[in-house]
Amino acid sequence: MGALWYVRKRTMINRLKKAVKRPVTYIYLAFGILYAALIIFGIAIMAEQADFTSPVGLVALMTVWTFYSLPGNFVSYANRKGIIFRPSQTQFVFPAPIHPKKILLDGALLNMLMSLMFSIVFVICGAAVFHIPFYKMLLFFLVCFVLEIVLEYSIILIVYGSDRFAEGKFRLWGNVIKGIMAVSVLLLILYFRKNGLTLESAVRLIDAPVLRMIPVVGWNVCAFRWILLGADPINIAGTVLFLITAAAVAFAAWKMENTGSYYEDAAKFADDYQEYRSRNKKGDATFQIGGHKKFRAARVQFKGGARAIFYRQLLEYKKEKFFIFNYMTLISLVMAVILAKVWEEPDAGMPGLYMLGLLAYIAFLTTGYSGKWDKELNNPYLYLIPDTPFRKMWNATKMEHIKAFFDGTLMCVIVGTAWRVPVWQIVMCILIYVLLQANKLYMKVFTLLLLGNTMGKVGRDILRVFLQSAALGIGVVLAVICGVFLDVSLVFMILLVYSIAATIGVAALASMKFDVLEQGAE
Amino acid sequence: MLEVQNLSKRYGKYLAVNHVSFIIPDGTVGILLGPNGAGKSTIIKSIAGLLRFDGGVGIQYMPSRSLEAKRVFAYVPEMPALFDALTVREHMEYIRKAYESQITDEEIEALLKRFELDDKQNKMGNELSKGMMQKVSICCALAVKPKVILLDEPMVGLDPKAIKELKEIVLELKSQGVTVLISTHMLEMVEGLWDVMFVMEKGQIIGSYTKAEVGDKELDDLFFEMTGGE
Repeated sequence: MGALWYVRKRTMINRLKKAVKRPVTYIYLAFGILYAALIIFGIAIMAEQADFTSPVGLVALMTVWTFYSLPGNFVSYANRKGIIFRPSQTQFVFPAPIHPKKILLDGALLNMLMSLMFSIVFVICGAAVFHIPFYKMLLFFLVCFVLEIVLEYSIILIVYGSDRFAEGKFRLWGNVIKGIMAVSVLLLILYFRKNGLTLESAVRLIDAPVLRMIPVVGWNVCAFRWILLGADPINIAGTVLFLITAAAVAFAAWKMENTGSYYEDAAKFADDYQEYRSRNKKGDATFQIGGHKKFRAARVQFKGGARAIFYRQLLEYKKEKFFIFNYMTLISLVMAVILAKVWEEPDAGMPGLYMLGLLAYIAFLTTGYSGKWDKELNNPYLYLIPDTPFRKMWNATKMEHIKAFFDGTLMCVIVGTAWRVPVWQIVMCILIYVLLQANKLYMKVFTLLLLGNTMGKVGRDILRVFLQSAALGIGVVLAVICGVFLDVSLVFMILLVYSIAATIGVAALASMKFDVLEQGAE
Repeated sequence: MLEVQNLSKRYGKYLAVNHVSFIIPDGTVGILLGPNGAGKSTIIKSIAGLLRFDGGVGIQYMPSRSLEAKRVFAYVPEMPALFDALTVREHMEYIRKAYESQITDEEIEALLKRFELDDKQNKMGNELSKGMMQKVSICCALAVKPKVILLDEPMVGLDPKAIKELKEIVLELKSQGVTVLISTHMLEMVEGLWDVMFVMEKGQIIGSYTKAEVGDKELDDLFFEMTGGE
């Protein structure tokens, strides 16, 4: 694998060299270590509290993991979307005299590293949290990780090598597996709802012999059960079958001819993935990779000046399948239902204040979301429109305020009704939510204006979070002072007035970004 | 030699290329012309092994998908896509390793100098402009020391000096017995280069001429005669 290994090696060295020179690398590293430690300690505490610290607990976790990761991976491979290829590979690797199987093995390296990482996490958790002797965990690592890798690589070679898969005839398999997985999730929820989410109920479920008799996935479970819990006839039989399967699949993969017919799908996926990445980089958050979006026919009556920006956005939204309602609307709905159904009405104090606090938190959490307006700043025509920067900014972001109003209304009405919040407080909450979202949006433009590209996106995000937290903090302090010294019911009014003042202030500053393209244009 | 036999390609129900056949002998420059959507890119990508197709493609009498054929085949795509974190020089090194190319360090230096990339050798792929990427892409293809080379809109994004160099290189390759196929819309750029032309429309070759057949007739006149002014 000389040439491919050369690319991997040089890429890693060059990236490392670049990374060590950037201060942000160390910030990421510190956060990464902290996050990993938090996750491990979190699991440890949760396992301790739920009395989940025996080997049975790890077996339960591993069983769930195996039942969803193996079929899930197969589904993505069946659709030839499980391995991430890049356009550079389309140009330099696919036409090169390198065997298509080697290219697949190289491409799947990232998948292998992910599996390795998860296996290491399981080994650490097994020894530290679930009190399993280290030699057993090492054996578990060798058997499960190595066998899993052999099986996964073999499946990749077979699925990507087969011309029948290329024609999409076998995509049906992937869809059937997807359906089975979805049904099994529902059955699991029903099972735990009926029997309670306890170690006993989990053990009863994973102990069911029928689960371990399911081909491949069940046999895989048998292998680590044998290592972690000891031998029983089902475990032994399942492990033997798993070994035979892995060997047979590996042999088939080795023998199978591969002429590179998968290059067409891989190249298409590489282009789609590149497009997906650049869309996300621009802030157009999406979960869909590939596929052409279908638009409806629509018309609007355009109006002159900066208003043309708003009407163009309106036209774009009218062409969308769900108009202005997108995944943010769905998230708002789900959050509202969870808050209304799962959380009980707060006993003490004003439920309206709780709701307001939660809305502020949601607005803070959804900072990453940006709608169509975000792309406006990159459009040169925006700067050519003969109108004032403030009017341009207002028209470029007006639709976002309308969307925030709908999302806020959805959440406030559902939660407010369930918590019996007075109507006037619900109205106040909606207005403050819209202002908070607007503030967040203008703050983003303001940090872009302040920093341009000098500190990169990360630098801008850090400054924005800082400024946003400061603005929110001042509002909270004002509200607390007002609540303590004056009247609690005045909190809403004070916060509304403060939000209006803060938003207009930030908006006035941010509007300067709409003057000329050079100012920190990306 | 490049031999395309009965090549057909479908995208779902849409027939993009319909039973296309042609041969370009050694030391010959072929040009593939046609309006947008004629199927040129599909043919180019099929020859490069990036698409599944019906029919056959032969490179130096070998099936195009065989590793032996790939070893003597070079491809310059319309849109260059370099490795983000590899330098210009490392791209050349990758080609040397992947193709087991006999190109020497001195030859690489000369090639990079010719395209004014010698002072950009340590620049990463993602630090280059579109034109620079195109130059690297061409240099990489030439570093293969191919017997058959495919150039898809190679002049797009290049500066006048690089276009001049590329034209000279095409003629040098021809004199060395290399088969060259150029797909382009820029008819004036290939005016003095071609030996055989193929004009495509709606997935089929609607006509082909050799230089000897047309005499002094200009390329765009021939093209518009065949396509009816498209």
